[in-house]
Amino acid sequence: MSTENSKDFMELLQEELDSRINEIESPGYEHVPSLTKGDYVGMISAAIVCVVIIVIGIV
Amino acid sequence: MNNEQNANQEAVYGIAPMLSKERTHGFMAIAAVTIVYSLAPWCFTQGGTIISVLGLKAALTNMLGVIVLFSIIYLLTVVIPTREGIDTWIYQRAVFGYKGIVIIWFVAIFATWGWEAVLTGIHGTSISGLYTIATGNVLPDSVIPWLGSTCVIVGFIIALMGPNIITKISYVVIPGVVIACIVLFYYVFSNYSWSELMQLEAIYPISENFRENYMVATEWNLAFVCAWYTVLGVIPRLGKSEKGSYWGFMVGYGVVYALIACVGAVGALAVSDQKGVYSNDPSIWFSEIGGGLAILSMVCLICSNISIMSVAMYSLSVSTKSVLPKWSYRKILIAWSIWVLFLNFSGVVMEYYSVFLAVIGFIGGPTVIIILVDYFLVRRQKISMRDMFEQGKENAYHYTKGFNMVGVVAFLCGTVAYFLVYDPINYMARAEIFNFTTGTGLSCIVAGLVYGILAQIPSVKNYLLKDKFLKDKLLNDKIKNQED
Repeated sequence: MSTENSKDFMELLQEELDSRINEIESPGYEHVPSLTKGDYVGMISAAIVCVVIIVIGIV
Repeated sequence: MNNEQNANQEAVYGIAPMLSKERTHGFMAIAAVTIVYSLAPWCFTQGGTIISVLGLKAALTNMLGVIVLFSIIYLLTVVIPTREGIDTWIYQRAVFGYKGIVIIWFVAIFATWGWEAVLTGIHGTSISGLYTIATGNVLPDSVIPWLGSTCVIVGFIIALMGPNIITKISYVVIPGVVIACIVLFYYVFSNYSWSELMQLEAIYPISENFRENYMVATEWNLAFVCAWYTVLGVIPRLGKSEKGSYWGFMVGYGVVYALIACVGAVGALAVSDQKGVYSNDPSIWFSEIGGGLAILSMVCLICSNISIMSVAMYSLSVSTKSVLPKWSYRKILIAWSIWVLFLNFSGVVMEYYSVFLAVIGFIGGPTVIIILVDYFLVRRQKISMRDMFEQGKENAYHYTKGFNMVGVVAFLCGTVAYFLVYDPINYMARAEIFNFTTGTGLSCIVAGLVYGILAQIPSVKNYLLKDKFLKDKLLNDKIKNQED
């Protein structure tokens, strides 16, 4: 059994957290690409299609 | 590594923030995973329930339109774990406080097990149905919960074996439910044309007024979307981009989820019309259909039920470990198994399915809208990662003894609004506004507005945005030290 496996849950967690938070808070850290304007247009278009479907069901 | 260590490791890596460079899932991978999750037999139950109050045309358009429309807003939540790399349960420490979120977590997760109780119900009637087809004898109703409990026992044993076995066994879910869908379609279109289907009326409408029935069905479908509340944070942490995560979730948890429920509605209505037996339990439909294909479908349902039960037991137990770290994985697994067995033998979830949906709706609706308002409008997508994990009094998300009173007040206002306009036990509107907004819809609007408006008050804003001020102070101190 490796040393890492024998560590208890809280120890493992604290070690992982410290190293990861340091990296995330470093100035050079890059987040994953964000949603774009095209995505929001897609959401609005999909919403309009849904409203049309709902209206078809009611009338 | 044994399963206890496996669960420990997974809980650790499930809690710790995922770095951008570690992301593995693009759009296709996320869509595939969410489609697997959305192919659960309880989607048939939802379709079968909706068709009791609406004719087929209204039911199908309501399920497709309402479920997908609400998902467009609801699933924006996955942007948070994708961007920040943390589970939404961690993020909600900022929204409800360290202690507040533990309470919400327990209520939500206890309710979530109701879906597994639906599985045990379907499982029991499937085995009973198979026995009837094989022997011609009918088992007494009192035996069905005992048969359903085998799903819990086998699921428990598989979950004990760990994630590798579960992954292999979960491959039976997709073909199982797809075969059941194909058999249902074959049966329906052997007996009806499309235009004949569209003429079929509701089986047990609640009211003579179409609008009231329609809005109750809409309420149930909104609550159906809220079923995802507890599991929205795990998979998107793996997403390589917000676009891939969001649209992947829309395909699985939005569109496919709605389509499987539509298949359930068509099946329930056709069986009811042909055989004179209405049920929202798919195994009853297959028992009525009879023949080799129905037997095959019931076997598929039995395998899918066990498979989904084991996945749920493993993932929810690992998730529980992050809240109760000192409990062993096995102990948590036993505790949840007892809870599902209790739900199974009491029969409450299958008997009061609509009430169960109400519980899911009033918890999962307002909480998610508060999360969205908090992240996108109040915090403007800026959080303190360190404060998410450090719980001292000086930390930004400690708030008032571990409770974010703004989040708590907004949630309570949403809940009160829900019960003021809707009676979930009798499926009745208590106020006319229900016929415009539904209960879940109104609770979302009220909770979001209360949180957003309170956050505009300067003193409340300071209370909520302590993370921003702490971060600015830290930065200023750093600059000052460098200058000195």
